[in-house]
Amino acid sequence: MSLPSVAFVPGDSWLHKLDPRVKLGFALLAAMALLSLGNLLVFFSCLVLCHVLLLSAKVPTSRLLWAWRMMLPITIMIPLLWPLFSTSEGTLALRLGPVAVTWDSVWQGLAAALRVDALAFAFLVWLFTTDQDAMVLGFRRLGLPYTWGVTLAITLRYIPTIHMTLERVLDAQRARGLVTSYTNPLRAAYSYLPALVPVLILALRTVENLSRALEARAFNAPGRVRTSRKQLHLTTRDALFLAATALGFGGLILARVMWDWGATPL
Amino acid sequence: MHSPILCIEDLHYSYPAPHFAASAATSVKPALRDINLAIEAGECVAVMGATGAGKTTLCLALNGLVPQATGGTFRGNVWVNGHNTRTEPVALLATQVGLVFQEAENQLFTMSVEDEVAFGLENLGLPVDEIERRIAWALEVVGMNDLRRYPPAHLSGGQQQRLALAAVLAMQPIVLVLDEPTAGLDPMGRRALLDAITRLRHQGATIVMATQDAEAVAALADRLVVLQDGTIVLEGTPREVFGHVQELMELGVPVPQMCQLSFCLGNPTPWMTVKEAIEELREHSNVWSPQKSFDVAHPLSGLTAVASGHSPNNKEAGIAALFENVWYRYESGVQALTALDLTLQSGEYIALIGANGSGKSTLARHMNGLLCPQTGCVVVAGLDTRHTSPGVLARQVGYVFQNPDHQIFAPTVRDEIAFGPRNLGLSEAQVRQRVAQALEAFQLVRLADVPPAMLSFGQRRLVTLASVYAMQPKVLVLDEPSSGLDCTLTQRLTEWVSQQHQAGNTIVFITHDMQLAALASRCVVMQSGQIALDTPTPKAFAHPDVLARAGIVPPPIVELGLQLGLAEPPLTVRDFCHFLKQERFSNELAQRSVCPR
Repeated sequence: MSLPSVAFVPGDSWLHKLDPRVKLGFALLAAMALLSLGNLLVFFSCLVLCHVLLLSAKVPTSRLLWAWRMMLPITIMIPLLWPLFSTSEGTLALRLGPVAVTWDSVWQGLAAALRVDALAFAFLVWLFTTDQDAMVLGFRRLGLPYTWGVTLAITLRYIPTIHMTLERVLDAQRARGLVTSYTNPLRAAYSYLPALVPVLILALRTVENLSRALEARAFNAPGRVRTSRKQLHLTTRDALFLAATALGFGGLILARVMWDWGATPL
Repeated sequence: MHSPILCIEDLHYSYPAPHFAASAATSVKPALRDINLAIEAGECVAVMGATGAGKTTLCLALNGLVPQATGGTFRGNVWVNGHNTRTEPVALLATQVGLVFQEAENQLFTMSVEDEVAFGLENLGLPVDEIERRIAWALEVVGMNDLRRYPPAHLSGGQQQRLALAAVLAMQPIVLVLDEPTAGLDPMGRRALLDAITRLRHQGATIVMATQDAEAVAALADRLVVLQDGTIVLEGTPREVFGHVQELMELGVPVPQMCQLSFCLGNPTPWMTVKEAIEELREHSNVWSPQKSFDVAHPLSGLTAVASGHSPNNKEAGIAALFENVWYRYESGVQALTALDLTLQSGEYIALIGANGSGKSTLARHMNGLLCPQTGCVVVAGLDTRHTSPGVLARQVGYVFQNPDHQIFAPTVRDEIAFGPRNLGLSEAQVRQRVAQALEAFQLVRLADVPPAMLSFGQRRLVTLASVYAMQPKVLVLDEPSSGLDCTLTQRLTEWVSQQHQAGNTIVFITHDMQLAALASRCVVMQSGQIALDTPTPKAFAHPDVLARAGIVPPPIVELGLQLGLAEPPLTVRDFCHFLKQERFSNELAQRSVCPR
């Protein structure tokens, strides 16, 4: 059984062919814009843009749906909880005992949730379409140590593995009568303990085995200068995409800084 | 005279003592003792031994991970092509010793097959042209050139193992070390891997192979070294060493079936291959006829009950599990089960076999409600699994998972075993009683208060069996339970399964080991989510064409029977010997027959 993950989706699209540094630039500029502004329309537009980019790169909709499923708790919880803790004033929308829920706080909660989703999808544009080697190479060309890139790439690679291990362990414990569907959240959390301990032990064993396997394949061999069979070359397409990204997200940041546009949700 | 390419001198090694309180079960003893071994260039040396004999530690010592990564006390020297593995950094030894670890999944971390092979070559700083040339060569050797862009995580177990081999091979080490290369592979995956190793042998590679796969050793090795408690107890050519059948059995080391057969027939020189056995048997038989049909009653009283289909203690056999038009498709889009119909009678002993991905585990997981059919229904002990939680089904169905580490979590063995009975809602007195029975049944009493995670793999497997046994289920599903076990523990496992069957329980045994599958009364062969064959086991092995399509390779003893023209060949060595006697196999070999217990 294969599991959808944050890892690379193999492909040969224009987005796959873009320089990894340019895609990382897209994600970082998008993040700066999303964190600078607070406008619902901006967040929604960014989400639409990311989906258009990913679909144009033939990333399967099952992967996009998986990403939404992963973010669903946050997407629901933030708008629900935000108004309860917000101190913003404005038109009263609802009163829950001592808590007054204003329309402002409702929009702010919604904007906060969409901001998180848009941020995640901006980085998924990079993660879904950049293979591990290109990612590591991109980091190296940006001046970061090679080991950092490898560490990040391996972490991304093993997230689905750990998730799959958790599923298997839960199955093994359910087969021995473990029940996790309690309504009391504390009891429900505690019931996962028999699953979390084996996952932790297995994760530690995996780390140990992997570090040995890396060493046995000359990783970080003293006195050796690492080569790479893949080379990065910035093309006209990269330059155009980067310019469009800078213009779009840079313009939004500028509008926020110069004219205070987009600070509020509506 | 050639000087050895690999030389081990007076090697002693002990792992560092664990940090927690020492106990009888965890006290440190040497993992390797007095090891002296010299290996010539181009030799293929197999290392065998029971679980914990020191095979993996020896492999790790050959590329310097022992002691450089593990610490501990190390005495003596290991020289590879003039390099001392104790002092030379492991990463630099990669061009001298290529180590392929046991679990391939844990050493593949890139996003494509060719990237995986390139990783080590890039670390060595090779030019791009050379990297490309070596990728093509290594993938050619392991037969994976057509999968270059494929993600390693999506490969089958056998393909992953071959890729791990290619990744190491590409670095062109002087010595190739393989740690349990065929463990856990399905028959076709195993065959493909052994073909790759054979090609390397023909190219003159020097290979050290730690393994429990006696048939592979018989086919590939020039020399066999047997370890016991960290020291070499037997050494010689496979033919010489496998001649010590009884000694090896006592050491927990498996012996090829043809060697067992020749030993049983009193032949002084063991047969290594089916071909040798056929020549010998034909030469000494004057009654043999290629058309002879095996239509006599099962000759072994011990297996007669199994062959009848139901255990003797289950007179009123009902239906243990019923699958009706079951369809199941995973979210990934893989159609795992297609219109599957199956009825399992109470008290049956069923082997569920098939290649990886054929749907065996998916089928089994429907029996305890971990998966529910998307179409159709599954009824277990009268309970429709669509409307019954796994917690309730756990009273009826005990499921032993392939990897014991997927369930071990408790601070002591006692608590681990008590987990299931407690979940069933039993009183503390009943829980204590069941735990005591389980500890006794699996000889775990002395380990009752030890953390199970600190036990050896074999002991952890026993703990998982004991924890399922304590729940006293009527249906037992065992998913590859012998994976990673040595000969002795496998025998203990099969004896326990046989006891459970005799006690009237229904057994579903999922396995890639055809020698174990042959012990069941009924054989269900899965292929692409459907049942390719459902028949009494002796008849199943009489359909080599169907088995081949389903990716199954019969055990050598069955292969022998088939090649001798038997319509329903005997399934075990013991059966074969009895068959020869019963058929008045009048030559002197049969007269001297001494069957194993």
